[in-house]
Order: sequence, then structure tokens, then C-alpha cells
Amino acid sequence: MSYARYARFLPGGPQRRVFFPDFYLKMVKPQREHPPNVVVFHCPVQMTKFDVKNYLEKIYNVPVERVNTSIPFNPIVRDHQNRRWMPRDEFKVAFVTLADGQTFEFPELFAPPASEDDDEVIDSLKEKEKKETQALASRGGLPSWFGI
Amino acid sequence: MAASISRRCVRHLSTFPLLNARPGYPPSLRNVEVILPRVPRITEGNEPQYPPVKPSMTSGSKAAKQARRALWIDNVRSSDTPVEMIYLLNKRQRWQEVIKPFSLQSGYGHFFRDVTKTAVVDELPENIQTLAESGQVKTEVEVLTERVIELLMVESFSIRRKKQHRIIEHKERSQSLAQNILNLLISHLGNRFPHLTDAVVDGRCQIKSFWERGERRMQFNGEPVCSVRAKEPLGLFAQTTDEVCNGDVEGWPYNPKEIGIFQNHINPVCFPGFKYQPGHLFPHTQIYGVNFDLDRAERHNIYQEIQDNFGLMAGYAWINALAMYQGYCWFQDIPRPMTAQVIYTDGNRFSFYCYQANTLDLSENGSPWNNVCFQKTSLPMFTDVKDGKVRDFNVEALKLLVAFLINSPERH
Repeated sequence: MSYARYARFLPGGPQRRVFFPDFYLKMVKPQREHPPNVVVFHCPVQMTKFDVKNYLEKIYNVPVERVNTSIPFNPIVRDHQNRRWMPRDEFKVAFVTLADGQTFEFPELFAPPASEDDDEVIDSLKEKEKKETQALASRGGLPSWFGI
Repeated sequence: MAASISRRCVRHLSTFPLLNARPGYPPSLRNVEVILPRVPRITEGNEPQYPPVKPSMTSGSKAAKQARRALWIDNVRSSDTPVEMIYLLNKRQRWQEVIKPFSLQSGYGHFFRDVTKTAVVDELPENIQTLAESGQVKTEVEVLTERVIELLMVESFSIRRKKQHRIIEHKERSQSLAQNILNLLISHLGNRFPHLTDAVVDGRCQIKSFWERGERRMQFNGEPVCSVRAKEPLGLFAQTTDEVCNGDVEGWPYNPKEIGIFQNHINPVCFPGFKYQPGHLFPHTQIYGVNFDLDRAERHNIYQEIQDNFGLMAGYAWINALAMYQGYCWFQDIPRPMTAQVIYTDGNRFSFYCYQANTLDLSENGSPWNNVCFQKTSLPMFTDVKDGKVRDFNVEALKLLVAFLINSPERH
């Protein structure tokens, strides 16, 4: 991760630019319900709201109304020599509200897990239990560990 | 007795009798079918000997909380005066959403409609439309057109305004036009329409109002330019049997933070512009000016949404505040629908809203009716004031203004 920082721009001053900054946007599944025109991204902590907006509008042509950001808490840990370090990578969460009435829904990427109410799952479990009890029935319920 | 009950209750169905007869055998392996004893029904001659088990009022259990809430609701419903009722409702501080009649984040209209249970109709009601085209309004408008044009010229050229930030300039321009136009119309029409002279005209009084919808509590803070209150209620704009009043309002299940509406935790306030006194407790007409950054709203393409949703929030909140001064709230619903008229102007364009509140009880299993807002938005009164002339003066806007003020209880 590069830590290049641009000098503050004042009107009339020289325009300093950083070419190829370490900027990325990772789209993630939202953890709570958002209105249909809100998309959630992870981005580096050094990116600002204006950077996120320009990134989406200029590279991907996505109209952005506004961006709200937050940085989740990342704990600092001290090792056995009392040195501070962060075991996890830092990131910033950007909540992007789309303009022009556009909506987006994060797609289902994986098959949903088998629920306990599935009839197939219940039937297969019942058959399994039946087989196990049948084996025990001929021996009066005594497990085979006690047998010869 | 115990043995007979146990024989009636318990029936063994297991295939391993030797094992299952042992006491302490885990129930999961016992294959026992349990039948509960039959509880007799309560009928005449078979009533319980003892009073019902009531939950303790001081414990932290769910039943106790529900009992305390039920007692509070009973006290609210049986309070003697409206002031006492409002005190019982607002003596405890709670988290509430602080709402203004506008917001500068898009998509808030859906939330406003959900929170006031309002259906929006893009046309003004029939009785207002016929009144605006009637002969009475025409004769008044003929005389008033000249005077209103004169007023617009005075507003643009003669009044010396201090040079200020553009947001404050927009505010002052729209609010002074709203006030002066309403003063002119009321003083001119008061002669022939006595309900206007009998009414009370409040100046720049804040309107504060609070209500509950499900788990949410709302606190509305509005700053109208002028409010006209009457002794008697205005007539209805729609009957409660109409389709419009019996529809479903779509819910908005997200966090209001997403649309720039935040919470505070203080006592809610009910203040329809005056401290409680019996008398003029029915809404007639109210006019609002601009109270936000108009340029920002236009730049972000939100201004049309603001105009579409202004009247429904301002109308409901004003009616709610006045209804609370009459002793009604969401626990004690209004016996008949209440109506109000709201106007919004930005110095040039006028928006007209006719709000009908059929119910204050916005809970899920409350009233079968929903509230309705009839509106006509963004009607320009003129295009420009230049070279000592008002260009393209629109008589339709003036007709509707006059119709709103002429609309009186006797007409219905």
C-alpha cells in the first residue's frame, strides 16, 4: 500500500499529481438493509469521498449522488516485546448512493444452506436413524462394542 | 389419584420394555407419547374461584412492561384536559426522529408517506377546482390582479434589502412575498367573507408536533410564514368510503439516517403556534417560504421531490398538533376527518396542497383508513420582473390562492 500524500491545493498554486495511486474499490454484500439505490464498497483508508465518486463516475460511468464513509475499528495489538502492530488490514467502508433513480441489488453468489425444514433432509435423517436402530434391535439395544 | 393421572397421561410405545422401565432413562430414547390432562372450559356456572393472575407492576418482565404501558394508555385516554394528555405523552424522554417538511437527500418522500400513512394524488380535489373556476373567484381575481402585480413590483424594486448570503436572500425574498400576498388577499376578501375576519392569523410561529408510527416516534419542527386558524372545521376533500382513503401505504423499512433524518433524545413538544387556549382549534390555510439552500436543491435535482412532499408532512403535522389541543392523539383517534390547506412558495413558483387526515391512529391494526394529500406543485406566478414590468403573469396561481382562502366551513 503506497502512502503518497498530495500537497494541499490552493487556487493559483502548482497542481501536483500522483499517478497510479494504490486505489481499489471492492464491492461487498451489505450487512444491514439499505434502500435499493445504495451500494457498499471497501476501499483503502487514504481514499476520500471525492476519490470514490470520481473513481466510479470516470472509470465505470456510474452516476453517484453522494458517498458516506466510515472506518471500522481495527485493534492494535502488542507482541511479547511490547511492539505495536495491527494483525488485520485496515479498510474504509463507502456507502455509495446512486443517482438518476438507479438501483442495485447484490447478487446471491452461493447456493443457500440446507435448512432444517427441508423435507428431503428430514427423510434422509429418519432413514439413517432407522438403520442404526435396526442394527441394535437384534441385540436388545446393546451396542456392538460389548459383543464378541 | 396420582396413579390414575399418570396412567391417563403416559402411554409407552417402546420396543425395549426392559430398558425403558428403568427410572432416569433419557427421554429421547424412551419413545413415550405424553398426553396432557384435559383443561375444562370456562362456562356459565363453571367460573374460576380466584381473580386472574396479574403481572407485578414493578418487575422488569415483559408482562409487567405491557401492563404498565396499558395503564399509561388508559390514563392518556381518560385525561380531563388536553394539557394533561399532552403532559402524559411527553413527560418521558425518548429517541425520536427529528423531521422538517423537507430533506436534502433524495428518496425521503417514501419515508414521509410511510410515516404519516398518506396517499398522494396529483390533482386538487373537485370542490377546490370548481371553486377556482367559479364566478365569485373570477370577480375577485379581476380586481386583485392589478394589486398583486403592483405588490410584485414593490417587492422587486422598492424594498431596500441588505446584501446578504444567497441562501438568506432566497429565504427573505420568498417569505416576504408569502406574507405580503396573504395579508393583501385576507384584507381584501375579509369584507365579503366573514370567516376570514373571524379567523386568527398567526405570524411567524413555529409549528411543533409529535406522533408515533409503530416503533418510531417523530418530532416535526416547521417554520411557516403565516397560519390561519378557524373556529369551525373545513369541509372534507374526499369521503372516507372513497378508494383513495382505503388504500395501502407502502412501508419504508430502512434506517432514516440513510436520508439525512437523525434522532434526538429529549421531551417531544406539541406547539401549533400558540399556548393552549380553547377557541380557534381548526386549521384553515398555512403558507411556507423557502427555508433551505434552494440552489443546492436544484443542483442535486431534489427540488421537484421537495415540492412533491412538502405539503403532506406540513399538513399532517399541523393537523396533528391542533388535534392534540382538542384532546385527540394516536391512542384516542379523531371522530371525524380533519382537513387543512398548505401553500409553499419560493418567491416565484407556488405549490398548493389539500391535506385530509382521516386518522391519527397509524398502527398496523388501527384504523382501516389512510390519510390523503391532494396537490398541485410548481405553478409559476410569473417568469421574470424586468424593465419595470412583470412578465407572463399567471392568473391560475392567483385563482387557486383566492379559492383556498374563500373555502369556508359554510360551503360544505
